[in-house]
Parts: sequence; structure tokens; C-alpha cells
Amino acid sequence: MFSPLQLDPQHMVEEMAAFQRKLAEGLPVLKHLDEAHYGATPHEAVYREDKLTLYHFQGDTKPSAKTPILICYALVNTPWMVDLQPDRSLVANLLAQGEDVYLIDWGYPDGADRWLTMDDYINGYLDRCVDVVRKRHGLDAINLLGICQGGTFSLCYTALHGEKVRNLLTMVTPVDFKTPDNMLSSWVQHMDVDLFVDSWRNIPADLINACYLMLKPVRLNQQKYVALVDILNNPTQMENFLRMEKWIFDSPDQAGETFRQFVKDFYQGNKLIMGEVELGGRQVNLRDIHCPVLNIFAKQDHLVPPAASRAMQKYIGTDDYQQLAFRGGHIGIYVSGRAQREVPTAIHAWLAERDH
Amino acid sequence: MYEKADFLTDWQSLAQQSWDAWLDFARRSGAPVNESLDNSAAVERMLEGMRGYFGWLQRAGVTPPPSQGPDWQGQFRQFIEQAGEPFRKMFGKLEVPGSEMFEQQMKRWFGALQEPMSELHDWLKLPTFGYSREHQQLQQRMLGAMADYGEQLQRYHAMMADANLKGLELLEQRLAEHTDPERQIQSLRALYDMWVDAAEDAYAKIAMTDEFRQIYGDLVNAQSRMRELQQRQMAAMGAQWGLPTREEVDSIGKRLQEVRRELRAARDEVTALRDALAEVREQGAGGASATAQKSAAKKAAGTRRSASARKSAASKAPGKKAATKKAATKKAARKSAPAKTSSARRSAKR
Repeated sequence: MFSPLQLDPQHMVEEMAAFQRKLAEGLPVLKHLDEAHYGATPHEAVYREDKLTLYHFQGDTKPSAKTPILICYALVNTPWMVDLQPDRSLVANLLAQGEDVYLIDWGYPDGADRWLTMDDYINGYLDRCVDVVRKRHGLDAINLLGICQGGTFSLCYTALHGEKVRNLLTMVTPVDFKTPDNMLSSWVQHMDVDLFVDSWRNIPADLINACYLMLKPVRLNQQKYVALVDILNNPTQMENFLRMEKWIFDSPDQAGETFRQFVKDFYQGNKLIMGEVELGGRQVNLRDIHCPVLNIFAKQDHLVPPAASRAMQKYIGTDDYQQLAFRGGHIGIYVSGRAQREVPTAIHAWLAERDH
Repeated sequence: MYEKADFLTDWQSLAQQSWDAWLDFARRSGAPVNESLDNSAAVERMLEGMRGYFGWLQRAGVTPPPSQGPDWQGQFRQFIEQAGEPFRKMFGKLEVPGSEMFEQQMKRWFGALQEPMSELHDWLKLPTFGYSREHQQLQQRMLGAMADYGEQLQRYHAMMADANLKGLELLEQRLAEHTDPERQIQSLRALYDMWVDAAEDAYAKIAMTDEFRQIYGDLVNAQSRMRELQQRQMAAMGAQWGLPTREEVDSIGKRLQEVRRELRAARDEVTALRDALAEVREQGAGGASATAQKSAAKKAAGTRRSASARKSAASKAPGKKAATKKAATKKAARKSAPAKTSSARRSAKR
């Protein structure tokens, strides 16, 4: 019987020497890289309120679509994942397809925003952004694209303000928060959320990020940086890595009261699928959503398991429901090469069929 | 023939050079090479990530890996015993964020105590008396919360150590599938990657258990409780010194947000009423029917009724957020406002 390890000392030294060589070649590259930026597509601010900014993107050509798309991102992380860099941009690809795109940047909440509730975000900020876009285009209803938690917000919004949403698109959006494979959900079930929010007030971004890193602790805290040595001498790949790294950790804190309700009502209570979420004195019932819905989720999503998104079809009221399962992860669905080819075209084709 | 002494010298030297290169770079990235703080922060994170790997490499180099023969598992365990330390440390370090600071505090505080923990618990149960009884009680509660947090942290560490152990067992099982000469692992990096896969798979399994959920929740709750009591202590001290406290700032912020909601609701209602009035006037000027006038007036009235209904609904809602109650008024009025705007626009076109 042989040992599974055939580690020859000389080979080990050579391996270490090669590692050292890569470091020596790569470190000068790293030293001279510029600061990473995102938000590559030209855009202008068309509305501001508190920390929120509503952006309108400009493509190379005039949009051919009749109805604009408003992207509602999650409160966690900045929304620039949809426009990370020129060759990895959902926004740029939608513009190239002829769509007209708006994006809500929620900004970075501070202590003054601690008391913002989900009602303030959904019936307040989001509703006013929808109104701004409607007014700019002289339309009664627009297309709404919600991403992750922003997708959940969009579902709530559409259930309450259906007359303003012509088509609803959701990406990697949790609907059933208690599927058996949802690790995040499992972790918060025994948490005293009131005590947690009362002691932290706004929830620091570092805390949220550390929690996400703990979903795959060794891979995300160590292995990815070991693998970095392999691309250290490649400026383009390093720029991409640093840009993503910046996006991951450049995160807003979470407004305390919104965090409280989101964890209690959605993660712990799973009230969205039961029609028991209440916003501004009104019940949110997914059965009240009657516009066409396209639900896109990622098959390898470790943050929002596919089952959590797929559940939407069971609870939604519309007769025009479609879902698209993308082969990739929670982030890959925006930045991978396949995502650039498949997702914007699928969205455009689906909308074109309904944008008469 | 490559002598062992030469190997060890070369190995240690290379590992040290690699690590020194990282450290040197980290230091320089803080210097004004490109004035980029972001890159510097990224390097710090990379450095932290690499630390465990270099530690493992160094130990792996000086620990004889399992050789051929039937007892490779025994040798492997010995190898793991030596080379696996950085991984154990890694898991041990992965805690609830912010806990590191608390842990250091705990060590200082409890290190200073002469009595064993059981006596501390007894003391914490003693009733308090007299002029300063409230202060004493708060201090007892805080000490109790700190002791509880220490216990929860120990449970969490034990669970993480178990996750690491399970990962190593899984690695051993997977390695057993590589005893065929053509499938042997020939590089440390391949072994490392395999180790990471096994560690993640074992951890993922444990992280989904009820036990993990319970221990994780207990730890977070214990930390929150301790934070809350510490803040109360700070607030009491601040008040004695005449300083504004967090509670005061929170109260002001909460009231301000309520006023903002009411203001917006009132503004939306005024807009809706103006729109409705304009519609009535327009239709009246054009000789519109009485029915149209009634319809517009009804819309305006609806706005007020609906706002009032929501206020009532919100007032019935349980919970500590009084803000919700105030928000209801705003929501009702706001909802109707854009509809009126559209309606007015359509009227204008006509």
C-alpha cells in the first residue's frame, strides 16, 4: 500500500522556490496598481434624497425600449456590482440591448438613519424613485428590477403599488427564508434581534461582512489569497481582483430598524410567503402581484439558495411567471463571462415580448 | 542526494524570504507609493490570509510527511499533529466579529480575580442594599453578562475545534482514495487545497446543525447583552459628568424621523388636495358635469380618510417602534398623491 502523499523534499523546495519567485515578480505589479474604481458606464444623478441617489445611465445609442428599467439593489453592499467594469456590466449590456436603465444607490446610512424602517425604504424612498422615473417618461408604470434583498423589497413594493409596475424582474431574490439549505437563515433563528439592534443601533458593515465570510471561512479568509499569488504578475487580473475586493468590503452599515424588521419578519418569521408582512399599516400579499414576473436565480448561490427564490412561483398572484436558472453563484450572475452573454439578453427578450 | 540538513536550511530560508517579502510589501503599501489606502487595506487582508498558509508551509517542511507503507494513516496523523496547528488556530480565530476585543477584556478582568468562577457566580447572586443598590446591581449584572459571554465563547471555540477535527478526518478519508501511485498527491499546494475542501465541507455540515444554531445564537446574544450593559454604565457615567448620552441622541433621532414622516405625509396630502382642486376647477370651467366634480372631491376626501385609517391601523400594531404609528399617516396620503398627479396629467392632455 502506498502513502497518498508523494512529497519529495527536493520537489517541495522547488515548489516553495517557485512560490517565492512568483511573489518576487508579482509584488512590484501590485505596488503600482491604481486604486480600483467601479461604476464604469456614464451616468447622471436625476434625484437625491437624504443619502439616496437615483442615477440614469447613458448608452452609446438612444434606448429603443418604451419602458425604462429601475434597478433596486440590496441595502447590503453598494449597487455597483451591476456596473463593476466595462466588460463586466449588467447595466452596459442592457443599454446595448436598447434598454433605458436607472439605478438606486441607497448611500451609506449613519446614526441619523438609524430609525429608517422598511416602510420608509419601500413606501418612501423606492416609491418616490419610481415616481421620478414615471414622471420623466410620462408613464403610469415602469419596469422594476430588484436584486437580492432589493428583489424582496421590489416584491413588497409591487404587491402594494402594482399600478406603478408594468413588469417585475427579480434576481437572486429570497422569498422563502426558511429553506433547509439556507445557512444564514439557520444562524439567525436563535438570535435575539431586538437585543442585537438595541446594542448596535445601526449594524456595522464589518459585522455583516464577517458573517458572510464565515459561510466559507477558510476559502474566503485564506485560500483565495493564497491563490492570488498565481495572478500576482498579471496587472489586468490583479486590477479585477482588487476591484472586486473593494466592492466586497466597501459596504454600507445597515439602518437598525430596517435590519430589525428584515431579520424578524423575513428570516425568523418567514412572513412574506404567509402574507403577514406589514408595511405602513398595509399587509403585503404576494398574491396581489399581477404583472408579468421574471425570476432569475443562481444555481450555485450560497447566500440565497435557489430554493429560496424558486418558492416565488408558489405564492405569487400573476399568471405570467417565468424563471431562469443561471449556472453560477450569487456574484457570478453579474460578473462572469457567461452572465454577460446570457442574463442581459434574456432580460431584454423577456421584456421585448411584453413591451408593446 | 539531497541531505536533510540542506533541505531544512533551504526550506526555512525560502519560507522566511516569502514571508518577509509580504511584510515588506505591506509596510511599503502603507507608504506613499501610489497614495492608495484601498490597496493598502487589501494588502492587509491578503497578508492575514497568507499568514496561515506560510505557517503551514513552514511546519509542513520540517515535519516528515507520511511515507510508503501500511501505516501511512498513523504517520499522517503525526504529520497533521505537527503541521495542522495553523489550521487549528485559523478556526479558533474565526469568531463573532468584535469578540476579539471582548475576549482580551475578559482575560484581563477574570485574570485579576482571585476567586474561582463558582464563587463569582455566588457573589453575583447576592442581593444589593442601600443608597447605591441600583449601581451595585447594574455592576453585578454586567459582571454576570461578562461571565456568561466567556462561557458562550468557550462553547463556540469547542465547536470550531470539533469542526476542524472533522475536517481533518474527512481529509484522511479522501486521501485514502489517493493511494494508487498514479493518484498520489505530489505537491504541498495540492495537499493544501484538498485540506481546504475537506475543512469547508466538514464545517458546512456542522454549521447547519441545531447545535451550531443554538451556540451561535447564545454567543451573539451574550455579546449583545454585555454591550448593552456596558453602554448603560457609560451612559450613567456620562450623565453624572453632564455629557449628552447615546440615549438622548437616539431619542432626538427617533423624534426627528417621526416629524419627517408627518411632514411628508402632510405635504403629500396638500399636493393631493391641490391636484384635486385643480381638477375640479378645470372641469368646472369646461362645464363638466356635477358627477365629475363629485368624483374629484371624493378622491381628495379619500386621501384624508385613508390616511386616517392607516394611522388607526398603525396605532393598533404592537411593538416598540412608535415610529410605525406615525408613518401610517404619511403612507396613506403619499400613496394617493402620484395617482392624482397622473390623473391631473391626463386631464391636462384633454
